[in-house]
Amino acid sequence: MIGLLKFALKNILRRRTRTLLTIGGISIGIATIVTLGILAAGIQHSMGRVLMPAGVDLTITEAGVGDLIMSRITTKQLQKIQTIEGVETAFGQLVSVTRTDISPFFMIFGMHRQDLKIAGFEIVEGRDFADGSNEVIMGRMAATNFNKEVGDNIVLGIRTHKIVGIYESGNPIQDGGAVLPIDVLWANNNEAREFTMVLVDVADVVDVGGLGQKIEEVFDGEVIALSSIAELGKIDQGMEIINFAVYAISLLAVVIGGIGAMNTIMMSVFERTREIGILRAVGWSRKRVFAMILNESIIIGICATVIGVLLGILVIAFIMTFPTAKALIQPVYSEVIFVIAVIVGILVSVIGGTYPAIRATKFAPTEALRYE
Amino acid sequence: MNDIYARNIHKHYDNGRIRALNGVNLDIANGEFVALMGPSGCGKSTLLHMVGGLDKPDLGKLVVADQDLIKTRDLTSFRARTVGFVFQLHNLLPSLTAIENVMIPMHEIRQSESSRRKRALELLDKVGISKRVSGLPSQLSGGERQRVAIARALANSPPIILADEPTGNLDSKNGEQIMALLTQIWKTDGTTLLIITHDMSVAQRAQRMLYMRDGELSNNLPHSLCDDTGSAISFGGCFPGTKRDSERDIEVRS
Ligand SMILES: Nc1ncnc2c1ncn2[C@@H]1O[C@H](COP(=O)(O)OP(=O)(O)O)[C@@H](O)[C@H]1O
Ligand SMILES: [Mg+2]
Repeated sequence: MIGLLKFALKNILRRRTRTLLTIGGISIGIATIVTLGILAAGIQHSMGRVLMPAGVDLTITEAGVGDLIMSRITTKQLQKIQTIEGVETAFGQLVSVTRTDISPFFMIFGMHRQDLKIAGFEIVEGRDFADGSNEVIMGRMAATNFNKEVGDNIVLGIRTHKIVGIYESGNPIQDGGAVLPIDVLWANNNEAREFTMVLVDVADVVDVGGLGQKIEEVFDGEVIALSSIAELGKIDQGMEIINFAVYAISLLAVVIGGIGAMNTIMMSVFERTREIGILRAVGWSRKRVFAMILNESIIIGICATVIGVLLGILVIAFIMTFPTAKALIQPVYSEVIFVIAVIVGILVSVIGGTYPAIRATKFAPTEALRYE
Repeated sequence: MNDIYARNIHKHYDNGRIRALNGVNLDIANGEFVALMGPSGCGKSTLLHMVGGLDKPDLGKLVVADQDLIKTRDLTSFRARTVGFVFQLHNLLPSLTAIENVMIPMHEIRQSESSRRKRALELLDKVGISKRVSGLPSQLSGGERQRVAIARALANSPPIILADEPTGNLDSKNGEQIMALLTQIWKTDGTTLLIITHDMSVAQRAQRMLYMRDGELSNNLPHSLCDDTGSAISFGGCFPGTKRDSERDIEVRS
């Protein structure tokens, strides 16, 4: 088969410009998959970390709400969770978006002071707020972006608050917002004293998944217990929509690249009607002709995959040079996305090459030779 | 049995409007050297293609090297092992070197690259161009290309060589050399050689001449008949002014 591969390689090197254009077409599709996939995974991861800070084992939200921000867990439900066996600590957090004097959409988190640490908010400057006060702590990124320091005031909704500390959580969504005492947030806009979610730390020996199921059963399916970030899609459809968009755009890019590839391979096959006829005349089987054309296509596909993956990584590196992008997304270079890129690259070249290869096997040797 | 045995072969094109072969009978013995002549478009190439398993007749009986070509479904193996083709245009693949071109037919038969290479070198030596093995067809002269094509035809040691105007595109000196080579191979290897030509001097090398007209083999002229001067001239006079295929070819292309 070495001879066949070499032959295929020679064939595609004959029309370098065309080959390069074909490779370019497919590799843009592959790069799209890689770029969007890595960015979407990054967004998903950031979202997930809001929901499940590092020290938390289970996150309980209301079932059937579609968007996390709509979820409501009552104080009564929290108290019940705290009594379930295996739950070590459980505390509530309210997530909201509000209007501020600096930005129309600003993420705010309401919690009790004592839960800040386990929720992943690390004070790096100043101090914690006091419960019940008009004090807030602000994320490092928000502080930088909006030029705020410890001691400054900030208007959240209708009230003015005082910034007493700056925190870092390592999560761009949290670091781009602020945390204030939950009782103040309740007084402002939630008379019912509800939480968006309850974060649970589980005793070491307990099976987390099992406990999650148990909690769901205790509440008759009114709540959802997440035990890993991967389950994010269960409660937040926004993520599903992002994923769907990623798949749709990637598919489109790949299909366009694939059709381009099929087109050029088809062209090169028809250009070589005579040569293929000669190969058949001197004893090549249909199978070998098929394999040769498919090899050409797969070589193109492999080159395109390698280039596409590199291009995708390059595009992300470029995007990440912008501070705004950096503030929103931490790219997650998961292996899955690279595996998908490679599979798609090979698949596109196999599918794009099959039809031209079949056509090539249909050329009659005499048809090629009759122009003598 | 005869090496090539054909009875009542028909081949029509364009829904029967073109009757390329119109009931051809042909008997060629094992090891025989036969020249096939006739005006352009009379069906010579078509007949050669049928005999070589490139295409199938519409009707008739065709047995070549004990193989019934009409009943055989896949002729790939027959083409690879039983016949070697030499065409008027060398028909080498332009992207492959001389030796790679010679190795092409071996793919179906020899597994290892090194054994293919060894055999190809032997053959290129045999046809007298062992010094140009890695030249591309475009870098070779017309005569050299035709030598490579002959080496390719011999790749799998076929018992039958079919040549379609192998000297048609060469000047007389190179044509003479190519014919000398083919004749020598025929003598030393004992192959059956069927050659299409317009050139009397080429045809006279054969043991027997056949004359084709309008898709029919009109006559099996024994070689001795053409050998005496009168016959040869009158035979040549059968188609005065007929253009050679090569000239027609050039006209079509321009
Ligand atoms: N594949 C084909 N389709 C249609 N017509 C063909 C085909 N092959 C050959 N012919 C026609 O059949 C006739 C015989 O052709 P050919 O065998 O090439 O003649 P020769 O080799 O004697 O010049 C010609 O009229 C030619 O145009
Ligand atoms: Mg012809």
